[in-house]
Amino acid sequence: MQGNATMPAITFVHPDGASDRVEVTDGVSVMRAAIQNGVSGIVGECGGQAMCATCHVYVDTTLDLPTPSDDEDEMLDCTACDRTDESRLGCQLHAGRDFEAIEVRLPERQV
Amino acid sequence: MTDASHDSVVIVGAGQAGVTMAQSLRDAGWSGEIILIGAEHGTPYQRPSLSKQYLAGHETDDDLILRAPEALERDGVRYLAGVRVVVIERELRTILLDTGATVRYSDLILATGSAPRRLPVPGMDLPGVGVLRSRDDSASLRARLIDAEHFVVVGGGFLGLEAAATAAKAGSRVTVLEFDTRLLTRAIGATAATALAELHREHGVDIRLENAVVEFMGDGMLTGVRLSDGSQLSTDLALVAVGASPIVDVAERAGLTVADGIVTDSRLRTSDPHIFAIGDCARYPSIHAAADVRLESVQNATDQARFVASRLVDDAAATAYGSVPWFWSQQYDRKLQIVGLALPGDDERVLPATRAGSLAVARVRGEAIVAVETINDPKIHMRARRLLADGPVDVARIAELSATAEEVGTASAVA
Repeated sequence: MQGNATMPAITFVHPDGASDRVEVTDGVSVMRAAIQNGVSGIVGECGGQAMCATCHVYVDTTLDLPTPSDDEDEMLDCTACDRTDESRLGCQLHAGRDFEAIEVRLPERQV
Repeated sequence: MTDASHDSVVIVGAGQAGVTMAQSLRDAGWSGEIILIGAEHGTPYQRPSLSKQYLAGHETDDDLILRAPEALERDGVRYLAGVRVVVIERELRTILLDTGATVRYSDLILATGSAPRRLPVPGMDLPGVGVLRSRDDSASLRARLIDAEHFVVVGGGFLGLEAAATAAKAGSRVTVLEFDTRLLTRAIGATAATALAELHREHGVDIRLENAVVEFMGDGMLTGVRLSDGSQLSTDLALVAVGASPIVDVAERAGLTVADGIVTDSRLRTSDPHIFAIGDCARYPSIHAAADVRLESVQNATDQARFVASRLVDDAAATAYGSVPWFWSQQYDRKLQIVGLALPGDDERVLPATRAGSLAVARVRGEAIVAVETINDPKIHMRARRLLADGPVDVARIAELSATAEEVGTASAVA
């Protein structure tokens, strides 16, 4: 969790309100960032292939993020916690390419 | 919940099943000791991309991490890497490790996984002939692929085809040798298998069916393979991907019931009441097959781990393990997804798909839908997971899977 001021950053907000902020290198997904830094609340059991919907996060809809692909959209229909307008798969959001700083809220459960 | 603070769960195997087991125990509120024993060195890692993005060089070791060391530490999981179990002393409820240490358990979880089958033919050990299971296997194959003249994949199953697709996409010359009359015989029906074979041919992969390797040839280094039809192919790199065998040696020595896998009851308990088996190494009675099965998949590993974790914490809460099996494979831009368990002889009913260029097939046995196979149609895949959640359903319900008229309209508009 070290880095300089120019590194992309991800803040994970847990259901109880606690948060973890991690800095990552370009290209790292929200899902990977959680796993590599030991942030709980993200499972990612398919390894980031948009197959399992266990890296569900809620993201502010006003952020300028790429719209979900058809695959992501369809997988979001089967998350363990309810899908909302803010739902995304963490494996499909990449630092640098999609955001410089982002706050994601974690659902109560992923499976 | 009972007071577990003096109890110790020991997990043998630090792959997807073992690591999920450790984490799920804590998530379920287990307060006792957890010891996770892995035969490989280093941080536990995920395997799905070893035949795909990692093999292609698009992912690093860090991308494979299954659970960071600090997360294991925070969860109070003692992780012993590069350690093997020598023997299980069931009477004493202890295991002896190859480090010389003895570890006591109140419950023991065998998540030992599976190992790639080798071919009993001359030359299997030649440099240039390899298998693909570990991160090291994948890294070594990746390094050899860079200069390989001709990459030969022995075995037309998921692993071999994924490696073939990765290599073909990178520009390698690739040949796939399959013993059977078509690809993926045990995994999917002819319709989806034929579509995938066609896709590989479009990418320049030479698929040769009904051909077995009888010899890897070479003097100190692979130079060719001899086939059962008498022909030869020159090659400098071969991958043997002919399935995997469950790792059962420790279970067998301990006198547990073993039959192509460590045999368990419907609640994943072995013939010893304090020993459970999960993941690739476990053979269990499945309501989805109405038979004993042994499955090799991420879903099987993680769902079984969560099931056993929850029953250890609250035994009464867990009835039979019954998660619907599902599988996926990625080849080129196609996602193959399977729900349920079909047998090679089951009928095929092609369903209206929800997208142009996608494919959906229901597998039917008698009057029941037993499995659904889709290529690039996650919508139908997800419907199938819900429909088959509790086991095979009457074929009359097939319409619940199919694309609606509106979806078909969208699909053809795109086409």
